[in-house]
Amino acid sequence: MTGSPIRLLTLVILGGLLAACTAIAPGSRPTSLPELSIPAPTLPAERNYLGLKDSAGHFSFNDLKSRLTVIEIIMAQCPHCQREAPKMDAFYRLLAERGLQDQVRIFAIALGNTPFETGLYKERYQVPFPIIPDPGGTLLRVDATPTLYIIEPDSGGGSRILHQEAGILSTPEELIEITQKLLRKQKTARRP
Amino acid sequence: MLTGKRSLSLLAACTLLLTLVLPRLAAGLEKELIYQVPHLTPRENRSLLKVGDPAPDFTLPAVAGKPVTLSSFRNRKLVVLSFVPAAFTPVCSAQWPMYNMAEAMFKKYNAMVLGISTDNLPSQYAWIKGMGDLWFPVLSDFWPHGRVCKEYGVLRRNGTAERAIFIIDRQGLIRYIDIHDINERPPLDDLNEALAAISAQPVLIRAKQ
Repeated sequence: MTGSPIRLLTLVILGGLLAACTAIAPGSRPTSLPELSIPAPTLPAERNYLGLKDSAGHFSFNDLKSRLTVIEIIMAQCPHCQREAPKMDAFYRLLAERGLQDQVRIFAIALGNTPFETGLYKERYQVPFPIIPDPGGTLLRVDATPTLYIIEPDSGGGSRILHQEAGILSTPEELIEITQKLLRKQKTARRP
Repeated sequence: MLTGKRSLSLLAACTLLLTLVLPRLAAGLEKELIYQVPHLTPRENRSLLKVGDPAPDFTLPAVAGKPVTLSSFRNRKLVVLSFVPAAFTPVCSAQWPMYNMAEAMFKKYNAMVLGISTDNLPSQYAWIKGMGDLWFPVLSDFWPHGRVCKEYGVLRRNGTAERAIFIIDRQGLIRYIDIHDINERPPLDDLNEALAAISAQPVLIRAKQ
């Protein structure tokens, strides 16, 4: 029974397939975001939250002064985004409670949604952070919504993705933990 | 030839493969699990009905159980008839969750949505569960196949419905018709504007002949 060649073969095939599957996901994931020109929110309070000048018509990730930026890519009509919305709202509140709101800013991009649709979504789920409507759906390409990126600016003008997830998001507490870990790492990296 | 034991171990391996690998694929490659529809002829029909016509009445079975009759909303609510082509297809699976999210908009105009497709009830039920339940009724025009769609002039040659929106006012008159490009999701803005316009003018003023 032990060492049966068929068994061994099945195990090898199984192992190979599992390894292949593990490779599929990370392989298709981007490691950085390109320099983008994103329309600035129209509400002064939201521009202020993101640290943008009043005159800014568009902004790029590098204009944001926070140490980390959390970007959620949504579609107002996506049931998964709707289901996950309360988690993001709680994450925002937890950041403030832990005194991390200046170091970490959140905004969302609503792919393919008009400002009206985006406004309804914001109201319906009481989203406390800015959502940028992208009616053309051309700003970013993602495989699934919601997709969440935590980024920091890189030296080349783009942004390095430090963390990403899609579909069912981590809990607000887990997201806080992830964020705190990333902030600690950043601090260590900056130390001479 | 494989012995019984060997086939058994292969079977076990396959089962393990299915339980471990498929969920990973499902999570990562969700798009592949959805039937991808090729680009279709945007519209096959021009509705036989026009704004101002009385809306043909109907009673259709609903996923929730009790059949729904259009005229039961007469003098009470505006009715948005949303015909969609087919369950489990990408654009349709976006249109109704959008209406679900926009419940406040419909409530603001005291409007009810009636979702209609030519799918049978069990398919609609499974589909709606996937969308996370809807606040408005979903009706099945499955049998006699597409009878109501035909009356509204929105039945396509393959038995599916056009992506069409009709707004019926409290008098039971058609006030808005959008036979939309089947490949695209109608923006919510259009519906909002139409509902606002009808609410501002609840009784249709007919142009003098």
